[in-house]
Amino acid sequence: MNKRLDLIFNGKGGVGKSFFAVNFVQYLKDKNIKFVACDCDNENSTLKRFHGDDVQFLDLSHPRGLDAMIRALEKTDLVVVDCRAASTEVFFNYFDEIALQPTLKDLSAALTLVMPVNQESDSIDQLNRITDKLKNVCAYVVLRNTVHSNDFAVFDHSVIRKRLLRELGAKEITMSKLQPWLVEELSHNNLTITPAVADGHLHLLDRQRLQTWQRKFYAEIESVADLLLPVKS
Amino acid sequence: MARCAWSCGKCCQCEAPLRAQCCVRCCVTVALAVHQLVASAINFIMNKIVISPDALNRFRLAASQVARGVAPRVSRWLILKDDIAALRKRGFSYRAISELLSQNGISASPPGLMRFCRSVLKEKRSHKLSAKRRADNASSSKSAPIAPAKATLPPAPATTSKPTTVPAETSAFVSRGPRIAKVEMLPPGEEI
Repeated sequence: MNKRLDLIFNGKGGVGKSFFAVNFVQYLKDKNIKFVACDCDNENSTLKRFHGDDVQFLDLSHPRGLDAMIRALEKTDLVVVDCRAASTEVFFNYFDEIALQPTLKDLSAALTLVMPVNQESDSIDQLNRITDKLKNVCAYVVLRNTVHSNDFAVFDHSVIRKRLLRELGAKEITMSKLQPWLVEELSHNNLTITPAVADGHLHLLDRQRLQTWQRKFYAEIESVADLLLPVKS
Repeated sequence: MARCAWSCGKCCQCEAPLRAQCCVRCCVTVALAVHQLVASAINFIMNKIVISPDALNRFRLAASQVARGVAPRVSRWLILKDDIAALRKRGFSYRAISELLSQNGISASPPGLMRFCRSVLKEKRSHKLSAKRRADNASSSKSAPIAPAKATLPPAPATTSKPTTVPAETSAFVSRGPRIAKVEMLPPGEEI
């Protein structure tokens, strides 16, 4: 298994899937890691908005819309997909249709699900749904999104967390809060942190804030690199 | 003095001897009466031609046979009463149930099912507004800030359980929602 398919996946909306995806793709660019990135969201194609032509759109309404995701694995070692909210069933049906496990084996690829969660029960419940279906077919990275709250009491004491960590070998990473005016500034200008810092338009202190946040984020990514990145040959 | 067209010498209305001013009126009255008579005669003949007794008999026979063999649709669904009631209780729409029945060879239109549910299952009429009407109401209330009291309607329920499609390949229907989050917690004191 030297290839990797990373799905950023949680049926609940607003948990930070696209925010993670935008910064993860920037990480891959900054580290010169070859990848193919895909955005499935036909209504809010955030990943494509920030990374433009570096991201291809997957049309979930088309019966072969997700084929491009698997086909990309034939040509590259890393495919990153930002999954739309409420698309869980679409993906599950597709996995059944193409027989995911043997297909990945043929491609010598492994699947990793990056599942952002926040303090809301809905986002945590989605982990139940996903793991009930996929069990140990894939690796799991739980992304604790602290943008809205640092309180993860529900998740921390949930049975699903125990199952993920003890039985399914999941790993956890944390995405810390980025100051809201910086999020707004970046979003308004369709800029990720690296070009925004290089741009020089922002004040020195805000550039420092962005870089601090990015360093932390990259450190978190690297702590689970074995699950997110292809194996170097 | 002008003569009557019918040469009877009497006024058709008053039967008095004809006078000059009476004759014209009399002739017009007679002409109208003749016209009505001819029209009704034509109508009578036409009716006789369009529906012949033979055709009428054939139709009556056919109608009696149709009425004899087929039970009304509603009574044919009575056997499904409990199943339909269970699906309705689980929040399935008339359309979804109709599709499910059709897939299993039982023809049922959504309006027919609605009438069945109201008459047999004693369902009450829903006061829920359609999406279009809600949108219309919303837009009209935006354009008219002071809305009359009657125009304000109860808000739509936060969660609805309306399956829009039915899996075609299985006879056992699998509901697609709603999914209410329920996070199972570890027993008190247990740490991960």
